[in-house]
Amino acid sequence: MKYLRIVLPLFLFISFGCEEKSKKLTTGFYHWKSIPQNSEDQINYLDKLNIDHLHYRFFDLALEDGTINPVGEAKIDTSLLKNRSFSSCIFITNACFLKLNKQDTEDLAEKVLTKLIDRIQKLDLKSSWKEIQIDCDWTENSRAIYFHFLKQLKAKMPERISLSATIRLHQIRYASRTGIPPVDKGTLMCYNMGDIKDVQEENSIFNSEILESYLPAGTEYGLELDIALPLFEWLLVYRDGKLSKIINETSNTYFDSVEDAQELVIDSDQYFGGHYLYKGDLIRKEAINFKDLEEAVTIINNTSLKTSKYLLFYHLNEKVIKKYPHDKLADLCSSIK
Amino acid sequence: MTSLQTFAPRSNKVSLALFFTLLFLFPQKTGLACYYNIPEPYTFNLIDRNIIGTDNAQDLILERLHNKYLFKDRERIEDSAMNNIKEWQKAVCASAEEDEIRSALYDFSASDYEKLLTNIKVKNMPIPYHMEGNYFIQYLYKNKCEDTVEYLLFSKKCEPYVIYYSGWSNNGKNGLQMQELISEGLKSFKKCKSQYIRLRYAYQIIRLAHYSKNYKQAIDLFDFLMPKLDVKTFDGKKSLIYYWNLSLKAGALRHTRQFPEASFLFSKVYDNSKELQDASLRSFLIRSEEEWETCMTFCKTNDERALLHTMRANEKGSKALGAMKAIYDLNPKNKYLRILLIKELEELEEDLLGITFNKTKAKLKSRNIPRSGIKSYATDVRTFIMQVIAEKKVEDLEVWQVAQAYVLLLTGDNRSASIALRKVVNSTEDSTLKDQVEIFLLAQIIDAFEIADEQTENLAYALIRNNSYFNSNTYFPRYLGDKLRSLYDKEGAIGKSYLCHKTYDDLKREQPEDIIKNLVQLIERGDLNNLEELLLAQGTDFIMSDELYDLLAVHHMQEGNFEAAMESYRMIPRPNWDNFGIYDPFRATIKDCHECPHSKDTLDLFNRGEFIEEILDLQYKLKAEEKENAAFYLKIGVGIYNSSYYGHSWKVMDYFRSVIHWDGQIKDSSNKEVKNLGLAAYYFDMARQAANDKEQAAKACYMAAKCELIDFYHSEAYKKPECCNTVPYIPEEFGNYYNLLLDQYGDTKFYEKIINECQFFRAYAYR
Repeated sequence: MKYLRIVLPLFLFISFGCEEKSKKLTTGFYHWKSIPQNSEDQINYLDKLNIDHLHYRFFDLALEDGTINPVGEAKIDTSLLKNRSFSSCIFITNACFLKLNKQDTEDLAEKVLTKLIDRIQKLDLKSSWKEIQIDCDWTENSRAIYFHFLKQLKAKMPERISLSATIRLHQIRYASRTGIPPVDKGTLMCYNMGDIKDVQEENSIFNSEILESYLPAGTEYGLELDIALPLFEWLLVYRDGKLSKIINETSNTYFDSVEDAQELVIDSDQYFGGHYLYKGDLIRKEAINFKDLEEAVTIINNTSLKTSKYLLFYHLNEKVIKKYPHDKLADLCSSIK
Repeated sequence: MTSLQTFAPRSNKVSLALFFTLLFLFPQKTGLACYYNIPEPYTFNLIDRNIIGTDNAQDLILERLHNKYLFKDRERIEDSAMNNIKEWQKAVCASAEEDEIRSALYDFSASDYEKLLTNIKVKNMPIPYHMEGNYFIQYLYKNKCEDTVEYLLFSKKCEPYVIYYSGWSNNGKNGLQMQELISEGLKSFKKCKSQYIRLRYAYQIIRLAHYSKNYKQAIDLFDFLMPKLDVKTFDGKKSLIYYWNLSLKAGALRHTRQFPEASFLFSKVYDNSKELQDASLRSFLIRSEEEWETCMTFCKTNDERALLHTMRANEKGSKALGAMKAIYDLNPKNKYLRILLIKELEELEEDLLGITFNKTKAKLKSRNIPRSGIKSYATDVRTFIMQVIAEKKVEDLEVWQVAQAYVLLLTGDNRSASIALRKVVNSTEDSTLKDQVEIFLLAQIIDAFEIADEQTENLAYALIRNNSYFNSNTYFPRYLGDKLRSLYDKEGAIGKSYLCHKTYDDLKREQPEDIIKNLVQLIERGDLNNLEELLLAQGTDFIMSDELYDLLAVHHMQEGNFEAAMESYRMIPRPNWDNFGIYDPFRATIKDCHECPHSKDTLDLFNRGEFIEEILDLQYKLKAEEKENAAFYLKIGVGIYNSSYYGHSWKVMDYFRSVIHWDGQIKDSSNKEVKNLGLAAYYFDMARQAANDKEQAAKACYMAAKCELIDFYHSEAYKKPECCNTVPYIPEEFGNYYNLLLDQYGDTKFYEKIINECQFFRAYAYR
């Protein structure tokens, strides 16, 4: 999921909650901008949905020249955290765990925690910090070391902080091989399920048929799960049938010039969306609508997954606020069984 | 093996050429890295970048950018350090060795330089003890180079604020201290008399501002300091420090989102600073037509404009034709025109050269190679090349002529390509270009093979034996191998096709029946031509003959057809039978051991041929001597069982054994294993039924039980136990013989023996 790694460092992962009679749901967003913009609209949007908890990406860990280093440290917009608690999210590439041994993992857990605590103390956010979320697309080969890392992290963490891990669809389907991580709860990521490299793909972000094939009725998993659904969109540029660029929503002008699911062919060499494109380049817009989200909720409702109290979405920005009215999101939250 | 008389005698020179050819074509005997071991999929690369000059060739940096971390962290940093050292050498002390300057710059500390400075200023104070062996330091001391030493001291003070820290450490960057250092540097800059050292002060000062994220200050400092400097030149080029400074300003401009000016400056850095080429190309960022137009306004010359077109198009997968046309209009002699030409040719080559017969073309297709519609683009490129040739405005017309011919070859116009290439090869006096044309011509000749007839095979053989270009280019063996393979496939010559890309070891591992039989037919046909002999020789001086009959015999044995196996073995001279190993397959054991030594008793030992003979003899006796039938049945059963994957003499019927395959859960078509024990089980059951005494029946029953247990392991009923030391579970339908042992032979001595020796059976019996 190389494209996900491209995109993740840019994201601020924010979650919020909405009240229902017997269940409190939290919706999460990837914030598209690397520098969070604290618009009044966004705060109002969060307030209207009674959000009391946010998910923030803090940093990533990646292999650099053979050593594991923090990269892409995010700027944290603390003003969004007034009266809200938060989870600190760390993305770790699977390659890191393929390289480590048990002793290294213990050191890594120590370093991660030290760095995180140092950052949180500097931001003066200690009292609102509730959770660490580790985001890693682990595999059967990296499972043992990754799980050891999680155990070490849990053992070293302050007791009042909980530990969660992201769970991808293949990790549900092949749970007997990839195992269940030793964490307090997981977040099931129901997005990026298609082949982004395939020019024929209709929507690589979300496809209800693929989701259902991974989560057939009655699917079980031995961990309580928050559910994460996508709200982001992007323009994919294919050159000679090969994925060439991903244009994120940084440039609304270009986004608005392409309809959802529309394909455009560039007719002459020109700049588009911040990139120089060539004649014949094909642009496809992939986006999510409410019907997709409702289908996802139906599929999840038909499973026997132990859902937690959070329904997480991606990503919070000005466009999402306009495209996804808060009352509709609230309805969706309440439709999860 | 059959001696290959046609290969000898020959001159040493030819032998050597052949050796290297075979090294690439059939390297398995040598065990060296080769075409069989290269990662798949692969493409072919025949372009020699040096046809546009060595310096220009080095400007093709796209693959470096694709491995950006590797190069960023190692080679670029080393390049930068080395260029810095060389400039110190030229500017300050030409007689110092590079290692001494390196040591002076990177090994000594601020306090070392403080002491050195003090000792220079104070009369009769020597060089600090641990610096005195360094000639560069001695030079600074003897010549009282206070400016230089003060600068080195200042650079050491700056070091903690500008070196790379991993994200784990709290790097302690202190904005206040960095500003204090900037002030100190500015004072020293003013005071310093040496223009060269002032330039280096400027670098340290601007860098401190940049690294403290005061980008506007960095820009202002550049604009303030640089006009005050007379920038030193070396060999007609400005000091590298000037471009380092320019790069810092460009970076600061980019941080302040002044992309057009930043990109213009990055283009200047790219053009002049090898060590910053990768970084400046990566930092070049123009996002819109307006920004592009603004960026263009910074250019004063057409070459600067051409450079911007190059920067924009210098990206893997870009369609650089538009940029090439623009550069051509600006200045047909601009060096970047030919650099982009080679970039485009290399990318077209990756898509198109040999793509119709590339062995890995299916895998390439999954990676979108060739790119869709690329032939049409190649035609557009050729049209432009033809325009360039017709107008004769470029300096290197022959390169363009070769490029045109190569595009013709890549787009399948083999005949026109040949004519165009021959025209250049006869006219050019440039040896690099001549060699390139010869290489393209060779590719064209191989590409033109239409059928794998005698004439083609002879020509291919001659190329392998005699063509120096073939032997000096690592891609040709696989290029020719893949071409021949595709032709052989069309003609059903599956054996020869197989040997074009696989080895004797592959044959032993995979044991493809149709391939082995086809190759045996080839041997039996006789009258082999040189190429066929080469293919069958597998890098030795002998053609495979015994080996193929041995393979065929093994195949027949696996099928239980010992008469056919004997027919094959009779084709191998009896004295050669031992060449394929000696085993003791009729030695019965209670427990199977695959790595245990074989019996030393020569009566127990059989080579494959003798084993086949013995089996046939026993089968004959079965028909003739009824009294001994049980013994014969048992011996045949033991022989076949032990020759299977599970027996100690598994090499009788196989060549490779993989431990991961024992329960049949992992399928691996590249390594055939002999696991069907149906025939052995039949003989054991017959032995049990024909036995006149209970002991013999118990032995046969136990062996049959082992076969039945293995059947269970291969059945769908078998599930791997979750953990170790579980009590053996055998379903009813697979436990017939074990139960028979328990029920009917519990009073035999053999039963007692297996209870003592076989832990599994003991656990089963007492479960």
